[in-house]
Amino acid sequence: MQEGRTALLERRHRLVASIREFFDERGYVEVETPSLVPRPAVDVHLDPMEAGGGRYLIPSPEIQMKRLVVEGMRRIYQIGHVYRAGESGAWHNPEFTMLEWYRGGAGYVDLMDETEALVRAVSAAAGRAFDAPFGRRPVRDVFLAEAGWDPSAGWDEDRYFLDLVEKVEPSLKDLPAVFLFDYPVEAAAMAAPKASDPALCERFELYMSGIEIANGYTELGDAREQERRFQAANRAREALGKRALPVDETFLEALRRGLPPCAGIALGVDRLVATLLGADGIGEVMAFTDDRL
Amino acid sequence: MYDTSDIRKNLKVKIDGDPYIVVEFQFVKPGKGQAFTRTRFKNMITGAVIDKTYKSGEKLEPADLEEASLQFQYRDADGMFHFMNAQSYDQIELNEDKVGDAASFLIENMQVTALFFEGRVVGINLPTFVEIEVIEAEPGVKGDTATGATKQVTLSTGATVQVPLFINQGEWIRIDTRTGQYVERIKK
Repeated sequence: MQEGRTALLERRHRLVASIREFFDERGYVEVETPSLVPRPAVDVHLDPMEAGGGRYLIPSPEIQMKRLVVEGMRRIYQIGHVYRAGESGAWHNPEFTMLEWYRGGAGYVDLMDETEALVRAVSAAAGRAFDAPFGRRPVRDVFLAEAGWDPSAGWDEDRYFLDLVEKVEPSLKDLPAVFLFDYPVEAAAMAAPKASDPALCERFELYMSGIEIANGYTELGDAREQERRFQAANRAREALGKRALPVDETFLEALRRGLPPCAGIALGVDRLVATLLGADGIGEVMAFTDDRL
Repeated sequence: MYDTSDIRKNLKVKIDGDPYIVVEFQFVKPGKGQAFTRTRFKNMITGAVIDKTYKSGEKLEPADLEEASLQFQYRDADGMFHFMNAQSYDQIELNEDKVGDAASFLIENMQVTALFFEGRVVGINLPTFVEIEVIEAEPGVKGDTATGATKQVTLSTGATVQVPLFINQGEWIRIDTRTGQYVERIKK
């Protein structure tokens, strides 16, 4: 077991090196934003950990990276740790490695293309040509086919997530790689609405063998709409008996100054590595999971 | 009450009036979504396996289960099985349904484990190995132990099992109750 992990960690190192190489070649700048922040992004279902001193451990570097885009950086990436309370399992760990990148002038379709190129490059570094085609399927079509309803036509949050984990995600198990795209606007998080269809947002997810690997979108630049979503998320948190989180004014201020059109994506590095190396969960490709501490 | 964070292997809960034991579970959570625990249960009475997905924080009802050691005493003319609780000396009477497959290998004074659910016996577990007398067998055949040929014999409990040809009426044999199969001959 220990030899196994050691060998896998050496392979992981080569895959992560290939990620950096991929972005460096495309003119991206690697940045390091803080892990400790006074105001994390407000999300109904992400519970940030309090670190003391009025700081939280980031559940995602999204807010600070977007501020860098506002400050003029057009192509940035980051490989860093993020923290989410209460997430433990074969494919979850409370602290994990996130690759996040932002690209000015791009939309979500550009990022699907780039994500596909990245996965092929990392797979090549793992010694295996990733020949399988990447499917692209609208969320509406997959839900109609697997769950028999269209969540963007009549939103029902509980039903949506239950069907997602019980019907939709299991149906993707045999697909080496598939993008689901055009999510219901109610599941937009920080994605821009789709101009041609206000019931949808320009968001996509990459699934590999049924495992959620990445989540990306055309970024929402509308400060007022962003503030409205943070407040709605806080109300939903309170309805679930969770604490409301402080809203980051500096971020909203940055959006008011003007976020250039851009797209951004977060990709779980542990999951990508585990999937490409054929592991049964992220624990095999992480130096230490929470339960081994 | 339990909630989803208590779910682990062998946790016993009550679902639709029956006791279930957790066989397997998995934490599932879309990055931007609710968390769930996908759980596989086994019905402790029927053995049926079911899958259920719980939303994080959902409540589960604990199953009121207890085990007790019982001594089998006798089977009466009406077919009822009589036991005595080895600690409390309480007399317990069970019908054939409750005793289930265990009836095949129950002999007097045997210690068994009974599973109580809400104060009622829902199952009887025999010791893994039991020794029982053969009361009916075709005459033994000498010298034919290598071929693996078997014959059917009747035990004192009324059950029939396949045994090697050399087993005779009146001899005692050891049975593996998990498989219901002959293990070896016992000298009594």
